[in-house]
Amino acid sequence: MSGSGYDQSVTTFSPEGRIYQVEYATKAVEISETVVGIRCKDGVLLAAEKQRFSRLLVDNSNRRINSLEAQIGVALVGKLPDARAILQRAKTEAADYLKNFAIPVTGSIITERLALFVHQFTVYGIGRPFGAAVLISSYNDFDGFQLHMVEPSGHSYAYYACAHGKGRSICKSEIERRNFREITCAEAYVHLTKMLILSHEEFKDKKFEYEITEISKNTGYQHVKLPQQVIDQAVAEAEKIIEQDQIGE
Amino acid sequence: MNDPMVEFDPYGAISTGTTIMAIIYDGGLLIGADSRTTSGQYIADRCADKIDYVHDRIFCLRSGSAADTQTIAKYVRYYVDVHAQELGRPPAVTTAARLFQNFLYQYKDQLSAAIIVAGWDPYKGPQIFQLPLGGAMFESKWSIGGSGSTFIWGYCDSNYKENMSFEQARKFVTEAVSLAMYRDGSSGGCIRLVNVTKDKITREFIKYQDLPYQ
Repeated sequence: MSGSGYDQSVTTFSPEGRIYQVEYATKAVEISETVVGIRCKDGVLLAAEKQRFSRLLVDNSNRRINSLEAQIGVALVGKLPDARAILQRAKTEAADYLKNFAIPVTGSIITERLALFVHQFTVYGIGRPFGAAVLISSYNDFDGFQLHMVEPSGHSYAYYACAHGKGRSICKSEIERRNFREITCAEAYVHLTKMLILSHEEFKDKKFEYEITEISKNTGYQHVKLPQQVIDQAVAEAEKIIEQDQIGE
Repeated sequence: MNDPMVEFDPYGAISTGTTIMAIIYDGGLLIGADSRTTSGQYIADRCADKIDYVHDRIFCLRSGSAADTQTIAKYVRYYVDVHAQELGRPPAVTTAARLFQNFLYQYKDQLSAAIIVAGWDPYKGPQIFQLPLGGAMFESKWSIGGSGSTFIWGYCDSNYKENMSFEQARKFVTEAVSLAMYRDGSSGGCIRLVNVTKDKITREFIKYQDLPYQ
C-alpha cells in the first residue's frame, strides 16, 4: 500500500483517487485494541478490551467507554490521545447543544457533528488526521436505540453492529454468525467477551480488563457500565466456551 | 411648519406599546394581540401583526422596541429552522424559548424587548413561555404582556379558568385585549387571533367595529 510520492500530505490525492494519509490514519486504528458495539433486541451494548501492560497500572483507570449525555455512550478506539481529543469535542458539542436548544443532543446529531469535525483534518493541512475512531451508542424516545461509528476519514454510519481495532474481523464474523437483534443484552454479554478474548489470541497469557456498557430498558434507558462481577462472570463463561470449542476441534 | 398638535419625530424609535396575550385551553393554544405600532404619539402602523411566525406551530408575541423584537425574531426563526432540519422532527417550544432567552440575556443592556413564546409541540403539547426584559424565562398556562396588559390584570385574574373550551377562550382573549385597547393609548386598532392546535393554525381578524368595547 505504498503511496509512492502521493502520501506525503493529506492535501494530496493519488492518481487513483485515494488519499493515502487518511488510509494510514485508518491503519492506526486497525492495529489498536478492539472495540465492538451491538444493537440487541432490547438495547445497545459497547465493549472494549484493555491490556493491563503493567502491574503498576490502577485497575479500571483510563476508561475507553465514556458517557456523553445520560443516554449517550462513546467508545474510543485507535490512538487513545487522539480519541480523547474527539471525545472532548463531543462533550463541548453536547454541552453547547443543550445550552442553545434546551434539549439533549441525539446520537445521530452528535455523530454528524463529530464526522464533520474529524473530516476537517482530512481537508486542510492544519494538522494530521485523527488516528482514532469512536463508536456512539444512544437512546432517545423518538429514534429508539442507535449505534453509530465515526472513522478518521469522516465517514459515519448507523449500524446494527460494528467493530474496529485489531480484532475487528474476528468480531465481525462472530456478529454475522449470530442474529443479535433476536437476543437480549443480558444474553449477549458472554458473546461480547468471547469476541474480545478471541481478538487477542496471541496475547492470551497477558492480563486484560474488559469494559462493557449498556443502554436498555433494564438500565432505565441510561448509559451505564456493567458491574465488575457481571463482566467477570461473562469472561469466565466465555473462556469456558472457547476451551470447549478448541477441544471440539 | 411645525404643527403643535402632532408631535412626530420621524427618526424616533418605533415601539410596540402593545397588548399581547396567550392562553392554553382544552385542545390547544389561543394567541391574541392588538395592532397599534407607535412612534411617540404617531401611529406608524395601525394594523400591525405582532404575532410572528417562528415555526409551523410556534409563534412569538412581541412588545417593546419594534426594531429589536423584529430582528431577534428573525434570528430565532433562522436558528429554529436550521435546528429543526438537523433534528428531522418538529422543534420543541422550549427550544425556541431558550434561543430567545439566550439572545435577550446576552444583549440585555442593548435591547428593549419582552416576548411571549407560545406554541405546540408533539412532546409536551401547548406551552407558553414569558420572556420579560432582562432575559428571564417563565412557563405559564396563560400570559399577558405589553403596556396594555397593566389595565387588565384584574380582569384576567378573575376570569381565567383552566381547561376552557375554545369558545370560552376566544371570548376571554377578545374581551381582555379589547378592554386593554380601550384604556391604553399605545394599544388599539384591531385584534388578531391565532389558534394553534395539533392539526392546524387558524388566524382570525376582528375589526374595530366588532370589538366588544369601543
